[in-house]
Amino acid sequence: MKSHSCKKYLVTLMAAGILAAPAAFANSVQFNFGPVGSPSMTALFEDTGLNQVQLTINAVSLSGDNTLNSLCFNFNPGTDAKQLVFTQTGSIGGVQGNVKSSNDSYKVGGGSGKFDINFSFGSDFKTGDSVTYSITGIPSLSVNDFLYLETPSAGRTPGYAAGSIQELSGLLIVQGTPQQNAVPDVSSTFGLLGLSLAAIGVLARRFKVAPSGKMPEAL
Amino acid sequence: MSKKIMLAARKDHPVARTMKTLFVVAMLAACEASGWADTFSFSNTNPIAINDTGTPPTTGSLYPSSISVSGLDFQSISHLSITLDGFTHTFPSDLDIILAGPGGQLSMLMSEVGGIARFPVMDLTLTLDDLAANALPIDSALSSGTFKPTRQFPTLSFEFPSPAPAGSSSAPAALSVFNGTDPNGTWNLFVVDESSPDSGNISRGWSMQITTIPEPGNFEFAALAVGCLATIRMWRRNKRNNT
Repeated sequence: MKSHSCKKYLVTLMAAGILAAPAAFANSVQFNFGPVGSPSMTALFEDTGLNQVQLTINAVSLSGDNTLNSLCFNFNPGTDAKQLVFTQTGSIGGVQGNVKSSNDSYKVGGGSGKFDINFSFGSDFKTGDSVTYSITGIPSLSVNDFLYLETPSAGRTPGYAAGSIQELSGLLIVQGTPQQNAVPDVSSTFGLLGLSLAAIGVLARRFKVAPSGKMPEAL
Repeated sequence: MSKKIMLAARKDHPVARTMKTLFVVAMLAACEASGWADTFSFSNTNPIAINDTGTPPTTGSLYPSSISVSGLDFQSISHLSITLDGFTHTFPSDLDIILAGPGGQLSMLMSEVGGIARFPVMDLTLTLDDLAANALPIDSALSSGTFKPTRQFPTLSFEFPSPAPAGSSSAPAALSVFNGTDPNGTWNLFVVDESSPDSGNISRGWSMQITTIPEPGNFEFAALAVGCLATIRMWRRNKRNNT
């Protein structure tokens, strides 16, 4: 009987651990704009807390004197994008952005579909500059809420994000390709560690109660 | 007064006759330059609904909306302007509108203008004219008025659906492409909505204001004929006087 109850206890702990495993990783999504493998700019969305996402936009490698003009992203269509609150929390290079959000209300340039979030910058977002925002305002907000396609438009494959680069000759429109990552999250990792320690403790007790010189029963 | 001028003053003198003929020719030339240039208006007041589908480009309800021009014989276009009457749309930069002339020429009247953000407009009257002072706004809201035909980019990433003529994606934003052509025939307006969602209409249709002049070939022929007649008349007069 004792062996059975221990087995149940361990199975429960392991199941809890397995269920907790996804939560042990905070999602992040990075949109790469420009050439595959060597993006000219990136936008990294990270789950940073309950109902909170951090966005970091980097001008990685813009050609010559080109500057990052604007970026457009999508948002969960079942939610009112106007409720999003953007707070600029950091900047390198003195970049100041203007953010607007409203469902299906922004184009990145001629011929694009419609996006829900628009960042526009002055003419000083150069290579090496970056800007960081904290995004809140929606219950259960996560990076997955930004993984939606633009609305259909003629002659164009809908994308998840798009940006415009100011060149001497005009605007260059580039699509953003998402790359989803899972990064360890501190609080969840400690939780999982606690479960593991509890499981080890139970195993140790099993060893202790087993007759000396004998291996405990197989679980 | 000299003797020569006294002679010319006589009504039946050959010099007087020649001067009279030259005067008539000069009057004809003046007519060509001013009085013969005239402006005609043609319209199609049927509304054009600008629908929306999930698979753009979406064509207007009249595709094309046509105007048949006739009665301008021996005339050619010297200037053309187009008016869209009752223009309404919830996202105007979704629209691309081309005009196809009877001779196959194409002009992009407006393409991807009126803001890359949502700037809904209602019941505007837009006149497109090469001689307007300003282009249609690309980054801000449209308003009623007269503007140059305007397109945001030199080419579209798609061709207008059939039966629009080939080459629609790169049609120039200029009505001067019709200058010098025969105005008679069917003019077609093709309206497409290139992005989903959003929709609108052109509730009172469209009109053309065509300024014409006599075809250069016809006028030159007429002037030549008048000149020949004058020469023959003068030659006969001289001959009669000599005999």
